[in-house]
Amino acid sequence: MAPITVGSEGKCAITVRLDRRQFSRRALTRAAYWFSKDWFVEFSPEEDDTAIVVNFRAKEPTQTTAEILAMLSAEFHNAVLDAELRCQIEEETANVRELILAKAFSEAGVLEVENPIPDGV
Amino acid sequence: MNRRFLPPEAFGLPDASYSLLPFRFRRLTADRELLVSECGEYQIVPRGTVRALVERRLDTQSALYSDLCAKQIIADGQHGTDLELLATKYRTKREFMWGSTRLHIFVITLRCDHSCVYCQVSRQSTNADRFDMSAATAERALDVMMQSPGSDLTLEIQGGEATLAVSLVQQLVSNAKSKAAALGKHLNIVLTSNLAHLTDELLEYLRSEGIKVSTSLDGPAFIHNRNRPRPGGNAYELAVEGIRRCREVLGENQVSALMTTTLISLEHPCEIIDEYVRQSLHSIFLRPISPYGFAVRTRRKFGYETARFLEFYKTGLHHIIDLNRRGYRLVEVYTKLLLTKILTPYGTGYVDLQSPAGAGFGALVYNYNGDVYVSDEGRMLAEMGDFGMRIGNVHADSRRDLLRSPQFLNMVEAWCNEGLPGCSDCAFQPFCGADPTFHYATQGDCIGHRPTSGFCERNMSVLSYLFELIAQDNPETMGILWSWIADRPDTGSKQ
Repeated sequence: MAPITVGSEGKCAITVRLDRRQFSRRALTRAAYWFSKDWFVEFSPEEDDTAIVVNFRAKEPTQTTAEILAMLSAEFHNAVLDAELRCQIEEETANVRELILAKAFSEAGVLEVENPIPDGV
Repeated sequence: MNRRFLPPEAFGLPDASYSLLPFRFRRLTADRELLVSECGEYQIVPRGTVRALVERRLDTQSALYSDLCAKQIIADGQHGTDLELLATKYRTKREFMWGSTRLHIFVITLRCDHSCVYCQVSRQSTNADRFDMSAATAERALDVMMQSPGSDLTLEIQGGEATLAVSLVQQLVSNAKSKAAALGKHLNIVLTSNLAHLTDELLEYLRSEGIKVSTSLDGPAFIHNRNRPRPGGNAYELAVEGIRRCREVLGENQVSALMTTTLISLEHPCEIIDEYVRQSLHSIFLRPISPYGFAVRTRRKFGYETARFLEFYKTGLHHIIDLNRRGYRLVEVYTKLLLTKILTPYGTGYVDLQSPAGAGFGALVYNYNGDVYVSDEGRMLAEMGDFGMRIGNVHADSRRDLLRSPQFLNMVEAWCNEGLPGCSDCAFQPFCGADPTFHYATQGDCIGHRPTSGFCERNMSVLSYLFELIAQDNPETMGILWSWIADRPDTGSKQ
């Protein structure tokens, strides 16, 4: 199937179907998070489990136009692609990041308990 | 002389494969992307670079490749990972963490003669001295303050109007200095005042004790008096006269002024800035209104959208840069703070934009009755009946107890933007912060919902604008901005 297909659910909602093999759930969730400002976002699996279905329903139906809906699917597509890249970068650099933080704080002395002043009330 | 050459392999082409180091990115404009390393070093690149980078299609002979290696966004055989350097950079950016709570705000009275529309205090009448901090409370609060492990502390005395309780101020300062000296701690003292009750005796006292003064100047009279009504309607006149007298007696650099932005302010950025020039002030902080206290209660009348504030900020910054260009040095403090984080290896001590959040960690607030809060904003929530940010009382709790209270620990879970939804993969993460109190007050929980967060929207907008300014790379503009960061005059400015 095409990576992303879009269906119209009326004037105030669209449905986006994404190929599960090409997009991770993690990336989709991260991308969808930022759309929750103006949209109610719902995830549901397809019956044959090859796709993830994302429904977008406008929070302000009276201010939604066809142009906005068209722009939404394009922006979500870009957001998902960016989110996939971020997931890849994080996965590839996770170990180095942990080493950086561990080294930064282990040599800083912040892990030592400092209490030169009595605490008595 | 025995001259040795490196083996032939050292002069060959660099290893064609490279590895990624931790970094984040965002689309900056239609044709540019912004890459930011884990340590806060940035690179503005053509659109599509991130994908090419991840897919290993980047030209390893290009200047861009060398720049990305230098910024430690990628590493290869020639430019190793250098964990030592990365860890040092990471630690340097968070230098503010060392020494822990440096700022201690004492609200010594709720009495005040002003009725500021954005006030974070439930003001009391000027003769209601039952709302003054008692000597016992002050003594105990100082003990808690001195339990901070740092050697450099700041005591900020606030109200209400602190100068309505001068004897309290004097007692507090004397005790604070004694305790600090006994422990070998360095103490900075700041008095926050509307300057409406300034006497020659008080000025002489402030001078002799080396106390700095912080006051409010919201703009020209028609803005200042409308924001800060008082009997007689002369808050502006008293403030500017007070600033003049303070500078005369205390010294030019011992008094600073802050403005607070309200709806009327949004319509007059240039007039406000020109007022600061008229008063010969050389720094201004274009900061938004806080969603607390009387500001919350009057939100219907005085609330505004983030977009309007951004427009105000851009217009104001443009005007300020132009003033600098024409020879008048005026620093915009918020811009300076952000650019320090972006363009230098360092963080800042500005508690409202830190990760871990400054609330409670960088600053504590001691109310007149001994209650301790993580911030001014936390105290104001209590004035509105919400004690979610009250972490204890000095008469019952030590510093250790305060920082282990359920309220403090609840906030701690949300005080690192590295782990917050939306923030964890944001390119602006090293330059931004976490504000659990803001999100608790406006959205009902410390973590908050980033897409609808005013804090997030404001900071992302301002940071995006600043990066666009940096990308334009106008030499004159950048010279002015760098002069702010470096705290020295811009030698390129016209005289």
